[in-house]
Amino acid sequence: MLQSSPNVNPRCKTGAPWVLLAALLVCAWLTGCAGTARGTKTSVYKDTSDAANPVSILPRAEAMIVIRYPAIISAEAEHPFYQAFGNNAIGGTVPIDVKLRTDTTRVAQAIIAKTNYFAMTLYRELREKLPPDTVLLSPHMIVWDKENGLHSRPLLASEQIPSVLTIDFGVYSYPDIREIMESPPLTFGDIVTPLFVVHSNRWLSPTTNGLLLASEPLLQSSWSLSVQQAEKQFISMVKYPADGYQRNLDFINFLNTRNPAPVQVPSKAVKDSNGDVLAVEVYPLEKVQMDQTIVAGLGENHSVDPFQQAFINGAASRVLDLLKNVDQDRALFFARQATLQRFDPELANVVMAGSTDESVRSRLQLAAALIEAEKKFLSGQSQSVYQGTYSGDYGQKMRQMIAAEFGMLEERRHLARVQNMTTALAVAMLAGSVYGTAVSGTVVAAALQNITSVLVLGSIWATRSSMKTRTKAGTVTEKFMALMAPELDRQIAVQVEWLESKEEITARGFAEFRDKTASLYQSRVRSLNTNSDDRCVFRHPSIATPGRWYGACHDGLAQGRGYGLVGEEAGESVEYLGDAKNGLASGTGAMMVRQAGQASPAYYEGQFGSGQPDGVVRIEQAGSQARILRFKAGTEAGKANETQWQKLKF
Amino acid sequence: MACRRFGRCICMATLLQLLALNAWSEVSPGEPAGLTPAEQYRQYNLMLMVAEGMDPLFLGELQATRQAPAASDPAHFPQINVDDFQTPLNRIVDQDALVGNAVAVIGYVHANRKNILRAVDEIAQTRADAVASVDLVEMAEDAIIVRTALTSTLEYQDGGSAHAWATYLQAYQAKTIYLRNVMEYWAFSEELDTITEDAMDTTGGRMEAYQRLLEDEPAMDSFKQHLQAVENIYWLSRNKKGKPPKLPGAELIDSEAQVD
Repeated sequence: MLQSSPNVNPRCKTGAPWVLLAALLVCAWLTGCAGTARGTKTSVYKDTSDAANPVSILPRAEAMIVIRYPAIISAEAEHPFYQAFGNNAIGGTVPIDVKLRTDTTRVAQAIIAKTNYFAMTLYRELREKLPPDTVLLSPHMIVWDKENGLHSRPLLASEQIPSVLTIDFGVYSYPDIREIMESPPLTFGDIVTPLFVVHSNRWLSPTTNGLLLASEPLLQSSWSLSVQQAEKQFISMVKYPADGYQRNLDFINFLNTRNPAPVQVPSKAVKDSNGDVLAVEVYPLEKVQMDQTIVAGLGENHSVDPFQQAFINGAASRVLDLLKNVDQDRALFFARQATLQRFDPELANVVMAGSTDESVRSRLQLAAALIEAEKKFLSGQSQSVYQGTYSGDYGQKMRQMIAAEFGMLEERRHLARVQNMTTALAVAMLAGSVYGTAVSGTVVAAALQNITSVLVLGSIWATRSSMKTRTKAGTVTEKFMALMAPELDRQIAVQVEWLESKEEITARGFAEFRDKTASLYQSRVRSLNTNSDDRCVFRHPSIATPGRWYGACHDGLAQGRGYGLVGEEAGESVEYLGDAKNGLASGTGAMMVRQAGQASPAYYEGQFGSGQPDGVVRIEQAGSQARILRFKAGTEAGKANETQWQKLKF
Repeated sequence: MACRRFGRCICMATLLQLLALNAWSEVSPGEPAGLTPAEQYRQYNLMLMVAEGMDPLFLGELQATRQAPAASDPAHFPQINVDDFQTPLNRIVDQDALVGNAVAVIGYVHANRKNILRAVDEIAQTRADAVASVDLVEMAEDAIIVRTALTSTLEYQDGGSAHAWATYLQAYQAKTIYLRNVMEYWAFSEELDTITEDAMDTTGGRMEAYQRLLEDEPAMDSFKQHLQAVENIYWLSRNKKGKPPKLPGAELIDSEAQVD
């Protein structure tokens, strides 16, 4: 009977009668076969912020952090998005009939609406901890076309500003609303399931292609996206000038990739004792439970942000730790060069040569001022998005909605508890009457041995009653979703119209602003006393084809400081930044070597000669700690220590 | 505007620090008698800007050949008259006087640099109003005129080793270009700030579109109705006896809450 009941959670099923009884009792009575939708009250990320030891940031034009999130869905992308949301569910496989339910689309809409809201807490926390104008928002529109499928495009130009770290943020709920009380991920009421990815320029972490941290379900797709980004950036420099690469939102890329081939990702746990291992930190999927007292009153009082307490303080602390520990110059060098390419390609090339000429310095100063002005403008836009989304009416209604969801969830928890008690009693009685003789000698059996046929009948009644309660509980959720749907629609409609109008106003204003600043820049820059020949040749001893060099040049060969790359798209490739001689790496530099078919390159930084590591070199390889070794003409010649190592000045 | 001027003061302090290469022996500077605090501030800064990048050995050679007034004489406070350096007649006919004047100023700065900087700081702190009236871009332009006139005059004069003189002059000229670039950056930065602030005023922080959407929204009261309807559902789901209270939004339960 139990086996055939569709309402009994399969987690409670077992074969042996004894185990069955014990498991049912424990599962149903103590923790509840009907789940109570609980989450973790402490995230794996703890608030370790140290006010006395803030992030050290030199005055610079670039941003520290850009936060990307899915903000709105374009009309043509709605259906593909809902479909992908149902197909690529996190936490289980959604039955086909559920994918077609209106409830499922409402959950999909709700996670976008809630992501808009919860992303603001992360933005505010980081903005308060970092210098003014260094944290930017990059809301994305989810779009669809035949060629690219589901993808995303940014609404603001924030990602055109070089940034040390980029965060992809979102919240998630399992598509099947009927599973709300069970184990799948949930963002409803006092429960939030954050999705979180941190990436950077690949030169900051070459062995992981710039991917620093990823939520567990997104790990594989984010890794593939980072590999793809690295390849595109490589090609764009080989075939320079080429169009820049716009990375899709990691979550949208995840939804758009159905049944991806599994890939090996160098990864490590959040609390890995060996934190120095070069791998992607995996943030486990967690249902974070916010303070219920605060959530209950959120509609009236939002002076305390429960999401900040439950998750954001810890997550922001982790991000700030990353900022403290990374080489910001290494993260920004190529991002800055890519930005310069947009409005001053000549300067972008010369920068590669590391020239200290006054004409380069002064022009770089003007260019930096231009980037800083754009950053300031976009920071103003981010602040405006925050106000509109969090402080404005939208935020107030979202808080009321979250409080209402919490009320509903509490009701269902109450019903679940009632149902669990009834179910547990019924199960115990039935089991006792059926297996009573077999369980004699135990405490439980002793309690059940005197069960009469009346009690058996009673237990059947109780089971039926619990099923009825459970059905009612399910209806509550569905009715709730149906009732709140018009409000959700309205909220989304307001947000979409607002963000679209904001994008339009901003785009128009930003275009005019860029025109004016570009004209001013063009009218003030002086000619450079140095030049960089981008037709110069760079070579590597193991690759026959000549490569390309941006930097100091002599007789058509790399000579002096610059950036070179050589190799084929699918084969072995080498990138090098540093000093060169006769077209080969020679002197202090940094080299990224990617073997054919390998997604994770090896990174060498230190001394080079005739194109090979030669002298004291630091090596970074995925899955292990960085080592400092002595090389002789490309061959390892023993250990060396940090004091002997000379790092490259980016 | 005051903010930008204050920013420039900081720029000035930074510029002077960047320009500074050497420290020299110090004597007390003479009091620039008869000058207002603003004029004193201008003169001191102009002298510092003119002196930067001059190699002490080169200065020594120039002082030896021209018998300039003793730099250590605190009573002697050489002032710079920019007109003397930009009048074509002076630059052609009276080159010795031009160079002599400049050498006297530079020599004075080399001997009294720390005290001059202290005096500049004091004026900036105690007479901020006077400092605010000084146009730093104009002052930097004057310094460039003096430096350029001095360089072009010395290029055609004999003295010492030709190679050494060329090297000294090149170093001095590099500082002039640096000063010019910084000055141009100030002007660029000020204009860029204006464009940025105008653009932000026009588009940044604009909430009208959002506000308008909310104001145009016809049925915002329904939000409360829906919440109320949800509360009714809770009431019903609790299996309480009797009729649920007649609350606004109850009608929505049947009309809108159709579950697929």
